[in-house]
Amino acid sequence: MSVEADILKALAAAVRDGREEEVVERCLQALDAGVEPREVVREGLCLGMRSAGELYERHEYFLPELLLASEAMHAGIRALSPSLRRTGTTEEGEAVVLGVVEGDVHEIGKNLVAVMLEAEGYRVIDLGFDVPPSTFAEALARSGARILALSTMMTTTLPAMRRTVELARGMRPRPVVVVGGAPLTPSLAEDMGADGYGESAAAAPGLLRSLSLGRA
Amino acid sequence: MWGYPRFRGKPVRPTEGMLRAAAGLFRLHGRVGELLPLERVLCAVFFKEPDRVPVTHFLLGAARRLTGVSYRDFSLDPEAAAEAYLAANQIIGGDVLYTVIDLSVEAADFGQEMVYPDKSTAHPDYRRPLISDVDDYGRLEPFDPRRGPRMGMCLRLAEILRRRAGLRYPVIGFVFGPLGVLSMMRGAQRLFLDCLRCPDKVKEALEVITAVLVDYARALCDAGVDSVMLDTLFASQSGISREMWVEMEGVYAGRIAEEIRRNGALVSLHNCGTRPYLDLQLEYIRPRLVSLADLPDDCSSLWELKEKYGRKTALAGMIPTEAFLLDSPRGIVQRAREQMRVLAPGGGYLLAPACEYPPNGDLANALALVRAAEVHGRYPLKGG
Repeated sequence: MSVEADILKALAAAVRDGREEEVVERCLQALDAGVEPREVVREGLCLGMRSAGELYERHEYFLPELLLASEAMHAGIRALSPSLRRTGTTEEGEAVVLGVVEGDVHEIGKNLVAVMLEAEGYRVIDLGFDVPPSTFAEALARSGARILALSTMMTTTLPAMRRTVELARGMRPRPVVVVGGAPLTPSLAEDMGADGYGESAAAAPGLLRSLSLGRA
Repeated sequence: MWGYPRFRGKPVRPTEGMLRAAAGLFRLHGRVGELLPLERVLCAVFFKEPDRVPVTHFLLGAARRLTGVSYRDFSLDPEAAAEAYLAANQIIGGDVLYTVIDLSVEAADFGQEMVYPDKSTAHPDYRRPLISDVDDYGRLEPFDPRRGPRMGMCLRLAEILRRRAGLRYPVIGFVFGPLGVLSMMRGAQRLFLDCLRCPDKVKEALEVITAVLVDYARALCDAGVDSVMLDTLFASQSGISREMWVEMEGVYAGRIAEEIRRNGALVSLHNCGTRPYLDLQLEYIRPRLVSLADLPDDCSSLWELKEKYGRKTALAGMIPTEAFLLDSPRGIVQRAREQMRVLAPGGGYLLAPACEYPPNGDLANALALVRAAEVHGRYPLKGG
């Protein structure tokens, strides 16, 4: 294996294990070894995050470990940002507008979906929590994103989710809408008019692939 | 109405052995007559078959719709909450009264800023967490929960319910688990990271919180509740690992459970997480009744759940809460019959939603749930 490949493999392991300082060191090491910033992101950071996601699906990792890996990945992205900007590779990937619907403040699930999508190369526009339907619509129009991902953990905010889905379905071009969260089921998602339902954060990339929504 | 006799300000309760014996008598009475809700629930908890399967609709925020009170008043006024809960049992039916309002009660009294929406559950203002930095864990101070605005409110609610319902209904108090309380003050995401990065600092706060919750549990017992329900949501695959739960909550929740038993009340447990660690919670908390939303991580069917745990603890649940939004009353009855068929034989089961009834859910489905127990839950069960 080449020196570059060894560095990327170690970087991925550091992300998976949540070793933030090592992630930053390995990113800089990879750049010094001549690895393109985009490749460091794809073959190091994203690979590590996907590994963490697989461990989560196997119930070997849980929310704390997944969040730690996410923090490590973002630390790596911050370390690479100057290089990514210089090479003009900061605005890649299919855009996804993501947020927690109006009235709900629970963010963990949404934050994990964001990091799993970023690990797959999507460009995530994260609107945060308690987001009104009109704000989602404005973000879709402004960004030109084709995908809208909505999250909620509460039953009392399902009406707000339904209003957001209806608003999105009335837009042209119509975005693909996927939903997820504790009170949701496939049938409830279908009843709302959503195009897809995500059972977990780690399943989000697979869901978008199944809807033929690949990254650029 | 009246409650338990009192001696030096504390309720005089029957011992667990006396309750077990009473359950046997209630079982016999249930063969020929209608039991009171308290008698029915006691039978079930002590693995006797009462006249029918006990049922709880778990109407909390939804109950306020029956009396027209605002969510804010429901959250802060014990009289308003009591009226709503009593109305729910009078109009919808059901065999249990709870003192739970929401999961932010304890955190609010530690000083966490709150938001009280008009049409939804009260919650912390997550933009202004009480614990904004890891050094804040060490700044939490213990206090008397009786003097806390919200915990004091719940204690008065317990007293009102006991006084008005007498010993007709079991009254179940509620204490959010120590890790859950801390998550309301730090935010779950940051707390989970801190559990990995600086567990000793987190434990510093958990010690203080547990001391207050132990006192709160004692105060609930003094108010006359029959049981105190602990909520240990994070003891599940949707939360934290088994090892982390034992270290960061199991040992602390166990202390609260001990205090409940020391004061003569029964310990209950609620866990609406995905694939909860029931074996660990039984080991550390030893509840007499467990309310679940999902199968435990070591069970693959309701049959296995009943076989493995059905004689170790009474079970409550597990009608999915989204069913009360999506399904018809007939569908709810069908779901209830399926659950009772597996979980109710031999006693040890209360029919219930998996978690709080959706505050905006159709109340016709709550009626259907209660009716299912009344019509199809008569012992001996048909088709069981």
